[in-house]
Amino acid sequence: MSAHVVALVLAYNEEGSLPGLLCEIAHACPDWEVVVVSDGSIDRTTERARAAGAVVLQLPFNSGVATAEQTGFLYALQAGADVVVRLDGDGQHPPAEARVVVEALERTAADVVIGSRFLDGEGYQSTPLRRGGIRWLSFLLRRLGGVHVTDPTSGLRAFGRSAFSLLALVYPSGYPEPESNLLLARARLRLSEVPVRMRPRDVGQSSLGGWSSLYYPLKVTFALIVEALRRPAAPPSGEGERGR
Amino acid sequence: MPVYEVRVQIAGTILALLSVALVLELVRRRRLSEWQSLAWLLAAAMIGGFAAHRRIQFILADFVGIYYPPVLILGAFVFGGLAILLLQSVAITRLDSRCRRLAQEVALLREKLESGGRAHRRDSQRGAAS
Repeated sequence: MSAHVVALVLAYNEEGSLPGLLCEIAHACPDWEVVVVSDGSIDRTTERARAAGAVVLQLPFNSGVATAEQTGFLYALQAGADVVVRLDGDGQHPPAEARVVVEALERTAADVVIGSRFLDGEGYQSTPLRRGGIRWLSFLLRRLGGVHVTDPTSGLRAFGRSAFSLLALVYPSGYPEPESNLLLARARLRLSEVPVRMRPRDVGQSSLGGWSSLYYPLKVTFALIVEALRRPAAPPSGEGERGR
Repeated sequence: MPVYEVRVQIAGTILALLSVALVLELVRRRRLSEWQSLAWLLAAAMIGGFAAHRRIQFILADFVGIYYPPVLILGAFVFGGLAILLLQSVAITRLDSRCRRLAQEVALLREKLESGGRAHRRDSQRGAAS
């Protein structure tokens, strides 16, 4: 029997890009259950997602990426999913690449597989300033938790049941990817990376602009140091070694 | 006792009593919880205590080695204010976390409700057709 895969699409006012993305997922991965978390959208994101046949989790107000993603994990846990793969609603994560990430998770002994833009250096590579910040975060993760990842801010990640069960209980706030990588590694879950090609976003603007782009590395650096000082989180009981 | 000292005592006592009255009124109107009000009542008691018994500040200042006693009062209130701010930050963080969890529960329940409604409508349409 094939694994129950939940494609978790995070969307905040993405009525422009969402229908195309959902159509792409339906073609590339017809066996996946598509769940759209509408993070307090005030445009027609929710209606567009429902019209495309997706399950829609509609947060009553804008709560940020972390809360939206964790809501998806809670849903997947309740729905008995085996794998969760996250995609951004702005179209940066091609569904074909998401399938590569999921297949790597199913093929290997990893609990989390991260889609990395930098392993083969193809596709959208972000701005030089952000690449510098990403290198700094990679260095920190290596030093603080022995986590060897080249793209710690990548949102294109696939989680096995033991990983998303843990993250449904405890999840960092703000921009959570680097911190959650450290949290998972310190909980003795296995992380690996596969090369993927990402695209620049279809429409709209990144939430990381202006002052946020200066605040972000400081906040994440501090949060990583604090995370390293915490007692490591334990996977939820019953999820054991690799619950899928 | 010099006249200015009596004036200070009267002004301090009135200020303390007004503070207590304000805090109690806020608690009575349920605008402030009993738990949160304790810190403010303590602050009011300190104002009243220092105003009524000015010698206390001289004794305490001498004990901790502060040359000019009013600085002790100022320092105590700055420290107390910062402590209250820290407690408020902790309370806000806890509320923020609970608020996010509630939002998640709302999203999950809304989806269950709507998917249940869709299934019910489908069943009703099938029943009407057969």
